[in-house]
Amino acid sequence: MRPFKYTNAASETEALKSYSGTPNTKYLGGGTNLIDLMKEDVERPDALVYVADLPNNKIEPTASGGLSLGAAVSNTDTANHATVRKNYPLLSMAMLSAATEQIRNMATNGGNLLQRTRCSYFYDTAMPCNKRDPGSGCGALKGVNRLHAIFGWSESCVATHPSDMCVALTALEATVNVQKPDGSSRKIPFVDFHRLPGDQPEKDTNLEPGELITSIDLPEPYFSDKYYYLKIRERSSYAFAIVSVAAGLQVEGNTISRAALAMGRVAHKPWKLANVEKFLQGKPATTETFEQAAELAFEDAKPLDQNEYKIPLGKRAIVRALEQANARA
Amino acid sequence: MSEDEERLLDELDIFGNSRRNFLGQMSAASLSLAAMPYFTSDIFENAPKGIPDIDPDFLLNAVKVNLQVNNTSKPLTIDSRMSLLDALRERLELTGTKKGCDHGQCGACTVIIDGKRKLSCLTLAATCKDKEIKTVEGLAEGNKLHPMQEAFLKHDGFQCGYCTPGQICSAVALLDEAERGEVSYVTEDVRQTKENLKLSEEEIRERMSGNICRCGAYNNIVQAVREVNGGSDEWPKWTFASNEELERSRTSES
Amino acid sequence: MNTNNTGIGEAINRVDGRLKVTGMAKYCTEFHVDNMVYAQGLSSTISAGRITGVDTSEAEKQPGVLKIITYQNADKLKTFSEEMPVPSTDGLSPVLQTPKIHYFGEFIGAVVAETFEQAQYAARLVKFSYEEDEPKSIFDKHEKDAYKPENINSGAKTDTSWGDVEKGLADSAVTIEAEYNTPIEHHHPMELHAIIASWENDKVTAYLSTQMVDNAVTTIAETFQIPKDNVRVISPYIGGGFGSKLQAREHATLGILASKMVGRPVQLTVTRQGMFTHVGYRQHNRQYMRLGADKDGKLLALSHQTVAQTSTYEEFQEQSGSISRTLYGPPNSLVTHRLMTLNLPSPRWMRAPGEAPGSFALESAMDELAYALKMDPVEFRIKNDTQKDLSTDKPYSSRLLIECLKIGAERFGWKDKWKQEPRSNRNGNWLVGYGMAASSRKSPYSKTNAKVILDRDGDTIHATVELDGTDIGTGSYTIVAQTAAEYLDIPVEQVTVNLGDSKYPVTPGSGGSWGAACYTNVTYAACTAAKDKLRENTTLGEDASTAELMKAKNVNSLTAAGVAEPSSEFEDHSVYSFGANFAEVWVDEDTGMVRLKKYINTASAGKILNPKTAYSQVIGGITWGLGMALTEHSIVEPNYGNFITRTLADYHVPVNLDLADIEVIFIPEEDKIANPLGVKGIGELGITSVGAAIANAVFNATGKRVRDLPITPEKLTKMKVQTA
Repeated sequence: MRPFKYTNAASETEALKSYSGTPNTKYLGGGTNLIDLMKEDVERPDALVYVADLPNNKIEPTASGGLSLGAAVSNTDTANHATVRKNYPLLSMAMLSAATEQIRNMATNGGNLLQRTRCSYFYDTAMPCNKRDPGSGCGALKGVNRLHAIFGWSESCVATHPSDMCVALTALEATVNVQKPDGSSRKIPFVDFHRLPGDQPEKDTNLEPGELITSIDLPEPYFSDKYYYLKIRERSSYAFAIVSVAAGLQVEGNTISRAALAMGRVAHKPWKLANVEKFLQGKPATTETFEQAAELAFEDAKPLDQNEYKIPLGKRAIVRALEQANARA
Repeated sequence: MSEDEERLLDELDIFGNSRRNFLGQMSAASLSLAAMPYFTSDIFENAPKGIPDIDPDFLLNAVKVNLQVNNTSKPLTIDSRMSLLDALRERLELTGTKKGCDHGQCGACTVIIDGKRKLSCLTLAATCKDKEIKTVEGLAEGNKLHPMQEAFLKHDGFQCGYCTPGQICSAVALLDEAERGEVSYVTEDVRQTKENLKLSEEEIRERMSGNICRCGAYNNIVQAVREVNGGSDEWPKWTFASNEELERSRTSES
Repeated sequence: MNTNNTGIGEAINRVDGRLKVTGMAKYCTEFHVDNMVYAQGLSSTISAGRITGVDTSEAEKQPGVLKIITYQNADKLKTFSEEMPVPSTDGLSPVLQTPKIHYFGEFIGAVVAETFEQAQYAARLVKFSYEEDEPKSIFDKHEKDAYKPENINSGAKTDTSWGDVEKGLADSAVTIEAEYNTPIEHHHPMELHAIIASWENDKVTAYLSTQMVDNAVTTIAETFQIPKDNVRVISPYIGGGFGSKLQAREHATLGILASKMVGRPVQLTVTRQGMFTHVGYRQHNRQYMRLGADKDGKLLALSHQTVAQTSTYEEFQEQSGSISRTLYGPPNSLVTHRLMTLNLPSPRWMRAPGEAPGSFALESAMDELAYALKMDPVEFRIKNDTQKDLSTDKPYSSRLLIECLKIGAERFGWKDKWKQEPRSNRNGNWLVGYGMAASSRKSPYSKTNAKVILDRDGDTIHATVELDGTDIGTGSYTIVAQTAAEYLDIPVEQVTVNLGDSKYPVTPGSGGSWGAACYTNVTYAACTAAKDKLRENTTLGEDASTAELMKAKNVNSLTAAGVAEPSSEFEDHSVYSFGANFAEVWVDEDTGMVRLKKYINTASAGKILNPKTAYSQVIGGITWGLGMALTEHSIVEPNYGNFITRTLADYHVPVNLDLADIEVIFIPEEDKIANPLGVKGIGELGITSVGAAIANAVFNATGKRVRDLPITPEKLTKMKVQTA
């Protein structure tokens, strides 16, 4: 690990100030990804500002009937929070599918959004990777890419976003609140938070340098009854997804009145299926509908040479997740 | 042997009163069972007590931190890069916490920080200021093992023993999580609001999946956790074939 | 016999258990050695070629850096004189002696620094330049170049045949022909391979995590060209080995070399990423099976032809075909082993080398043939049992395979549950399947030494047993203590066992399923020798206790040596353990995820010394078999030749949730030909055929026959249902 200056920030203001002090500073949350990557020499900050113990550690109702999740709250405390469980069980389930209790106890909500890809080429400094070292090439494009993207990739990067929490937040249409070093703040709709690689895969998100995530707002709850987070993986627990689906339904009679649907591990960002959500609206909640939805979801899929299986697998996953959600009382 | 270790051995009565006696000369008849392989060899003698603090001038980015480990305050000057795991093992001689991967992928380094199980390999020691750290060395009380340690012994919840401290710290924290009514990915419906959970086998397995045991003692670990969490005990899982079975297998057609 | 219920056969808790649950058991890097510094290994980033330049300037500037060692300045070590040596557990282990690169991730240097953090970072700053050769990394591309190696592992024959396999196949009413692949797999014991090396003048002490202490001493002495007496190896607790710690590997040499060159004790720990390239692995085995039977299910021909890969610098081939020579009695048999060289690290021994991959091919093929014959696979196996080892013409010392099969099937409820046609059982979204497989593992036994020291304090005896054997989680401390308790008739609490130190008598160490037999038989021999000494010229009767004998002789202390070695009867027999495996799996066809639901294993493995620790050995083996079946594979990057699965987040060893209820039924067996106590190994029997039992169950559930392990969601998604 490269030497770095360490600061423990007592407040957001102090954190932002510390950030401005040294170029190439990183905020340190739970460290579950950043410290790992620093040990791998993938992340090379000159300074760390510790923000996991900041006071933005509360979960509170918002004025618009939603819920605000403090950036410093741990993933465990968020997933187990009484209101999250009751009103946003899809988020709770997605978060609980991730990693392990130990890691969820450390990981912060803000940090979860900034997880970097698990692509092995990115992780190994001996391999080419445009995300890690812009211009070095993409090793996965013509290498081992069985776990890589089938949507929205570019010649420069075929990596996927690894988070489960973010898939649920995408489906639920959360908003990210960030504070800038100059003290001002802004709101970023979740679908715009992460980005596709294009020719700048080194940028995972649309955050500006120095911006600090302070909280994540959930809109009012629509999917507290019918929810399911399906995670397909190569080991039954403690593994990243191959494909995952976050599904929420509102059903009146047997008709879908509102749907939330997103996929994980298929693109450089959590993959919101807005057109499929629209398609589902007004349709009967039947397997046939779900199968049509799955077909629609993969219309634009573009597999690499080793991951075409993600298409049939993903289609079945969508059907299954919608069925499981619909089966709940 | 560090002072902490000596104290622990005293408290656990691993050596009993005969310890000093024993180190001096073989009079081992009254020794308790557990100490046997540990102290009869010269390799455990004459170890200096404590590791000298590193000269801070020698370190780039030295950080002073007062680690609260097992109810004892441990002031240290460390490299900002030092993980809690390395601080415990390399500076405090608390080697019960293990390094299995150093990247958060195995759980061997699990410790309990402010009541929550966490990975010490991905925790910078510098971030632990004012936090209560409990390691495997701090679980027993006086000469009494923690019930989870007893259950691991009884159910053979380990083989090589290397993942064991992490497994036990995880299992101890899991008891509190169950008491608080925390849910997991295999919980049928996360909207349930029960507390003091008696966990099913499936729940225990999922919640213990953050601790890899390459020897494959998982089933015994589940038995141990189950006994402490819910009192149920379905041990043992082995039997010997009976004479009748043997007879039948040798006479019947198939 | 032992009157305290702590002797042989009792399910006592491990005697080292209290130390392990309190974190007090000391593994090799946990010893305090004064003035110790840290070394970090450097690894190559090409797979073939040579180093043309080393730039240490940036690294040297770092605070705390003491030395940077590469081939340019490393002390001279003894190197191999022959081309492509066959690896042995006491063979040479040279490092940094040449600029040549044989594989990606090869040790090419080390940085020694005052602290771990400093060594780790400085290691990133050493820059190597290379001249690259075109690497050979792809198995499929080089299979055509496979050759017949003179030697394969464990003294097995490269090729054997009897009868006429082609004719047997031609005469068969039903035949099957299929290719099976088991991928490269890695051991990954939880404790990283590590060493603390410390020199004093020309003597070195190595705290080394090793399964074989005396072999490590030989390796170190030979490599550094010093007398064996100048080397002490200490390894009291080992955090798992599974074959990867049979030999003092290059990291041990590197640590010792670094310590010598900086003149201070050095700790060197292999990183988890380094565990993929520095300590061996199970090679890729491609196995071509051809089987034929008459219409009644009598095997007429069995052909098992394997191809595997080794490195470009050592020749290692596991005996994957050997299980096809002994498990059944086909009148016509052909077994061959072929090997190709690739620019990969050298493969090594991994839990049940040979049997683990070989049993997957054989027992899958047997299942395929039973299905083609429309026979119950249990009956099919019973029908083809043999009581003679056709490959050696020797009788078995004991062979209870039929008992294992029948009792296992009965306990499992096989006849009620299993249906021949796949996809017959469904439970909601799950397809439920049942599968089985027979297993067998050789039970080796070789010369072992030990010493017992008896101390008397009044009427109380304390025994200390010393041997350089190891406990890698297998329970050696416990079963040795139980054996001494048994034959001295004292409670186990009065027995001290000292293992894992080269100052103790020489044993073959732990590996190859001989540990338990060797350690306990030698303990028995030493205890018997002690009692014999005490009985000389005594007037006391046969039933006099050890304490009475010592008292009568008025001795307070007595030392006796024991030796255990195979008898001529042992040499005249084939000595094996046997077992049967029954699995219930649930497969979610939509997600491709497979869950084990229930597993039954029957084992005839001689005398069970402690059913608690023996059970642990078996479930450990089954966990390994499950990993082999469902999750574990190391993938070679086709363009660079490295393992692209390079962390425990990419290489999936099973987690707790992957497991399910496992029942183990020990079949009582008395086999005094094997050794005086009738002890056979069980840890490798445990893994054998598990992959096949699970794959067969997956076929029974889904109608999909996966012949390339592991059975992943990807493969089940791609595969079509096989119709009869």
